[in-house]
Amino acid sequence: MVKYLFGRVLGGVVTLFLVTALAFFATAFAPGNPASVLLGNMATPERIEAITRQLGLDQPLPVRYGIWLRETLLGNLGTSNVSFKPVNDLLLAAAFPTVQLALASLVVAVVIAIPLGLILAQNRNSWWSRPASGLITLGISVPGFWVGLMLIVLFSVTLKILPSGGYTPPSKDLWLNIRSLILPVATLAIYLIPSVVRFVRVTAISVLREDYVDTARAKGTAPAAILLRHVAPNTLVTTITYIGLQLGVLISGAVVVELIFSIPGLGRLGLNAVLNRDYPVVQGVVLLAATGYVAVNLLIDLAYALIDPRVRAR
Amino acid sequence: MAQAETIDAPTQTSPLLDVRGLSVTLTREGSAAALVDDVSFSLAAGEILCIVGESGCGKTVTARSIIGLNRTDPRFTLGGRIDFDGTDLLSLSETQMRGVRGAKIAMIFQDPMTSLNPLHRIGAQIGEVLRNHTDLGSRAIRERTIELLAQVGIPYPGSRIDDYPHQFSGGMRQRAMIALALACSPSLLIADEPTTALDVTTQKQILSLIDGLRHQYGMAVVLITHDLGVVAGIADRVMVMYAGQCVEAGAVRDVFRAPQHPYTAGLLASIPAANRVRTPRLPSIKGAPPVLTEGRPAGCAFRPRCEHAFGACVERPGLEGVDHLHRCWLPEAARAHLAVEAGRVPA
Repeated sequence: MVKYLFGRVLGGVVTLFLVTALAFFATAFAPGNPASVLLGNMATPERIEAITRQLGLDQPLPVRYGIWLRETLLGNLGTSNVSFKPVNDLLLAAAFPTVQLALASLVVAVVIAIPLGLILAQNRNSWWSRPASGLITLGISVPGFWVGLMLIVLFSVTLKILPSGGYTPPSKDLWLNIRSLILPVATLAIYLIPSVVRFVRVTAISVLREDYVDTARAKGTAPAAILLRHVAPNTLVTTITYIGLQLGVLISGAVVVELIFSIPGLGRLGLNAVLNRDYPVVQGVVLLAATGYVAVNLLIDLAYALIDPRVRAR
Repeated sequence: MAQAETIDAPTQTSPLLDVRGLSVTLTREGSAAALVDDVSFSLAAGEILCIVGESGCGKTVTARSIIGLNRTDPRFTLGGRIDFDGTDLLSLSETQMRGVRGAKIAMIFQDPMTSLNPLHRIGAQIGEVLRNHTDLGSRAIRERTIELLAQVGIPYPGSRIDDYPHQFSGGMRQRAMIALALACSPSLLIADEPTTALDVTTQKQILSLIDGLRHQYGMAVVLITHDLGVVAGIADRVMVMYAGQCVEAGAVRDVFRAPQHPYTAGLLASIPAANRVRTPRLPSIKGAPPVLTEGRPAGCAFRPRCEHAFGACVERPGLEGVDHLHRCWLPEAARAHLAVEAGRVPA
């Protein structure tokens, strides 16, 4: 168990290190000079050179990476090239809406998708099983932004019951905060649900063919109890791993949803930073997203060990 | 005809299990295949009946039909009667059948490595049967479970009860499965090749455990095997199945001494036992049994592999005999010679 977790944490640290390197060098090699973007119309060769020196961009790459890595490890992600605010503050402000959006969507998606997948697996032989599976395939092929736009048309434009965008922090007004998140969360959840349902359904159907399900039936256990006691936990073991992998989908989906619903989250911050060649902010966003991804997957490995005694034995 | 197609248990009272004209049809992608075709047998309380035959001859399907594991599967159609303790199991509703499963009829499976849920403790899996069929409280269930584990020879049952399946060896898992099957003292135990996945020394232990427990619990056992050595060691009666049909059935002693069907003779000849007449090479039956989902051979299903096949075999033979039944067209003199072929008597 300790060995297993130690291995996972070590793997996570290595992943993060590789991501920092990637984030740094990808931006360093990107075409375009931040100094000229910053100066815009006022750019002259002298000014560009001055700003370049001021930003430390005249230093050799390895030196720049070393400095950046040291500062990052000390918790200092630098200042924005555009707004000159500390990147730490920008990230902190943007992280809250994104985390709120992502977590709420994930919870909603999982709470709906897992029971749905199990029920579909249990009733795999009934007449509505095929049409339902077809509907799920359709759901997987629908792009997330389209769902978001349709929801806006329906609930904001036609019915006028929910805001079409914007974000109110919960510290200001909890009710408005919830209202502002309903459509974004629905969009992201609808985007996630079909693939999770399909995964759960396929996994549960193969679990239903396991010998221990026959054993449970030979014990005289009722089908609903077999589903809950034997099929669901065994399905969950693989499903949580799948959900961990879906986190990437969730992050990229959050970027799109934040843009559609104009939520001041990490996605919008990152995208604007890319467009402005605001490299310290880009690097900060990538680093934060990667850390979140690694951290959640570590939590999933932990949950895995909690469900499966064979993992604990390792 | 239906009267003749039975192996009646040699008791005066009505048998515990009486299967009459059981047929199981698998319908898949529009085509139907008879996996079990008009099989009848009966079994008295406390008896062991072995069902033998190669893979794919309908042994497992027959067993699963008795305990009703395939009755809710829409691909399977079951016909005939399965009278158990005076009730036709096929006429029961699924809810009524759940009350029988685990309580009066129990089953153990071929592979103990996969027949226990890896995520639940051994004790919880055995306790589940007791919770299904008794009013025992959790403490009483635990006590009974420890008692059962001790009975099947698990050392330190008081602590092993909280182990997970992966902490048990294959033999111990099969012992745990037996404990699970015994929990509600069933009157019939179905064991589907319970030793096939185990190593040889463990096989013997498990079989003698089953044999001992049937005496102790007075339960009847339907034991599926393809090992005739096992049959000789443990069974009272034997039914040989081929292509979904019973081809020979009777008391073990009779069938082994004087096999009446070339298939049985072939199976007997291929046992590498010490007491048989030695041949330079271990004989085997050429070819493979028909895949029933691809169609059954016309006439006698064994004809394509039979060295004795003659003109009459294009017709489907019926089951003949009184106590020792056989389904073969060969005249009596030729059938008498099969014992020599089986290596039971010197030529």
